[in-house]
Amino acid sequence: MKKKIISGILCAAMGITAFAGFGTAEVRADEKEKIVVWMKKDLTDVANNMFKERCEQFAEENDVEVEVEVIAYEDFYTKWAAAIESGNLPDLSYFGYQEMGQYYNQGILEDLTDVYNEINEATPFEESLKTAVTSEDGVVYGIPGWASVQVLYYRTDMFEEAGLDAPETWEDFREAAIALTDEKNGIYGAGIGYGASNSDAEWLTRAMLWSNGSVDVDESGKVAIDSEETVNTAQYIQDLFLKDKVTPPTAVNWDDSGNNKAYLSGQCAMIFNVGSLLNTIMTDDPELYENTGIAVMPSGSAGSMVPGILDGYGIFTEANNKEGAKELIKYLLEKEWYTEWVNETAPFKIPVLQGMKDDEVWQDERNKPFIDSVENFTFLGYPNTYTPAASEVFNSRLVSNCFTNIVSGSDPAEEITSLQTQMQEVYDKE
Amino acid sequence: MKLGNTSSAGYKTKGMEQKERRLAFILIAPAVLYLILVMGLPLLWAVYTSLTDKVIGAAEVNFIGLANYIDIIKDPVFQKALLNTFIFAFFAVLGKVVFGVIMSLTMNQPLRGRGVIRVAMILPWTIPTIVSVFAWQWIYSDVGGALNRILMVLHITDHQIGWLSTTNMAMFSVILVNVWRGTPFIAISVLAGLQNISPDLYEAASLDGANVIQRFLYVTLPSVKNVIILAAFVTTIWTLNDFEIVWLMTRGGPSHATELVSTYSYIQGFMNSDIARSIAASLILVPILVVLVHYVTKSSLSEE
Repeated sequence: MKKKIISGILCAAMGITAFAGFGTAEVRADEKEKIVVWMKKDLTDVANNMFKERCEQFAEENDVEVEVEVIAYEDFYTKWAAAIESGNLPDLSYFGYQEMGQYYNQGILEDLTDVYNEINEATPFEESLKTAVTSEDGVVYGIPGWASVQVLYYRTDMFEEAGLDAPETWEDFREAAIALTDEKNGIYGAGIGYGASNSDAEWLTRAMLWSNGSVDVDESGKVAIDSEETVNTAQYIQDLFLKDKVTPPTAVNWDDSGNNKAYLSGQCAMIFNVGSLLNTIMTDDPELYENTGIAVMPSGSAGSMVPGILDGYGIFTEANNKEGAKELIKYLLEKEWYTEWVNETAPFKIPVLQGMKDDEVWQDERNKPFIDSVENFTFLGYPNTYTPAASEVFNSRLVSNCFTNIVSGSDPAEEITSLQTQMQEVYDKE
Repeated sequence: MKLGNTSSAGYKTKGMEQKERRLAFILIAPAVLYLILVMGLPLLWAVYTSLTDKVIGAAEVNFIGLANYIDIIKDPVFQKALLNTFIFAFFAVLGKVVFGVIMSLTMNQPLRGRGVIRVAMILPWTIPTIVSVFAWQWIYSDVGGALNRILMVLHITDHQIGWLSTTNMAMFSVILVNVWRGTPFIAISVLAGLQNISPDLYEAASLDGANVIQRFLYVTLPSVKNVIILAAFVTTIWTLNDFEIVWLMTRGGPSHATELVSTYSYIQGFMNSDIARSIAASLILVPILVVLVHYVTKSSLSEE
């Protein structure tokens, strides 16, 4: 009998603990409204800390609780997937515009047209950016937060020693890379890298392709990547790796930090990167900072095309506190604080609000190429308007994977034909 | 004279056995229910999802039968991933078993500072994977990396070897990391077996004129054979599922040279948002894993 009683108590205890997680907490009347924010981690702590402080300020002024989670970009994909499937969504999330488009197309992002218009009325956005966050039927599903752009970083001391000027065209770039490469001493002219899931390579390759006359789609919207211009550019890139040998041997399998490390260690004389690297160099290596020059992306036969990298905010349709999130977005784009935040982290975050380009910080010789590049911003799906299918092509890293094979020795023409097929499959789903 | 429900010999009656069995079922019922909810139902959901066209965030889900499995099997990248997975598992397990046995023999010796040696040998298994990966990335790096530097100083090579960037070296490099991390588990398992071998057996073998190698082959190995086999099966299950090391070091590259089923599944699910295809890829390995798990549970739960 005693045994039965003890057994019964143990069973009850196990059962209660097993089902404890199913209980829901009652919301007390005195509990504050909560806004959960997922924000992309900046390379510099200054930007991350300023953002958190701004959210804390909003929380204080509005008597709410704001929970900020700062997340590395690469981790967002898994977090978004888990959040979407589990329903445990943040109220406000960072998105790159390429992710916004894809998620809006799946019907899981909120219509933010009213928020956009309200902010735009108070402090107008740069006109050229709206197309990247607007659907075909005119719905704005994302609020531009900041832009960034890849520019050329080059070692001014090495260039001076070799008697070279900053390259203006892709041929100049190749010649400079050849002149600066000293394989015996482990110095390479071109810090261009590829690898599985390398997003830097996605942007850079598009810059090279588009500026040399390649297009993603034709006027009718059909994928047109398989062209003479694309194959020629692919051959150029393959030659850099395999014929000229101006890239580090490991560059065929870099992740997004590969080119950063290569430049910071002195292994590469030139790389392409966004402004966050310059912030890091300025803080961690003043000597390298003095020997770093910044130039706009080289131009090709079709001019200079710079893939615009637009980051911002979006709200999932199933988020708990959408209204709170909308108010927070407006607060984050109030001009005074926004100007301070963007200018403090210049040149990484390029302003999305009008009237900031002429600020003193953007006239600095190293910062100016970043802001000047905005004029040549080109979005995914070039030359047509941006579409979610173009997003999906980017997010699937089709271009990066194709060119990883090319720089590893595969035939460029065959790989581009395969890329055409893969891209068309994505566009056909739309 | 019978006392209560027991016979005079003290054996349990059928009624008492039934009562005890009932009690046992009642006691394990919460745990079984928990396992069904946490493991069983998700598995069934996963199998069902693999038979649909579900993508992340899509509200509409259509049943498409085995289409995902057929597409995956026809995909040359998956074929490479599957082959790589078996190659990776085979050589990694082989390496872990061989080095694990050597390590256990070393740890079993009455050496001075044996405790410290044991701790040092077990350390790779205990430190977080990300720390191991960072350490090995530095070792393999072509910029100030230790391995290339050592090889060049010793004049074994005169150029930087692309340990993670060349298709023929990348697989070897990730296998090496996996072996480095997993060897201590085999070593600990075998060490437990070694400590159960009676010293009398070695003494008798020595008296019969057996040398070191013969004592190992005819005394040590037969005594720990079952432990080695069991540990090898367990580590095979883990190795077939390995993801972290390859993903963090090479992301399955260069050019799919280190693509495994696990990395392929991850890319399908989280980069391409095709959760159905991702699950289907993972489930393809399940029959093999079931066979391995069956052997392990049968061996560990069998009565002597």
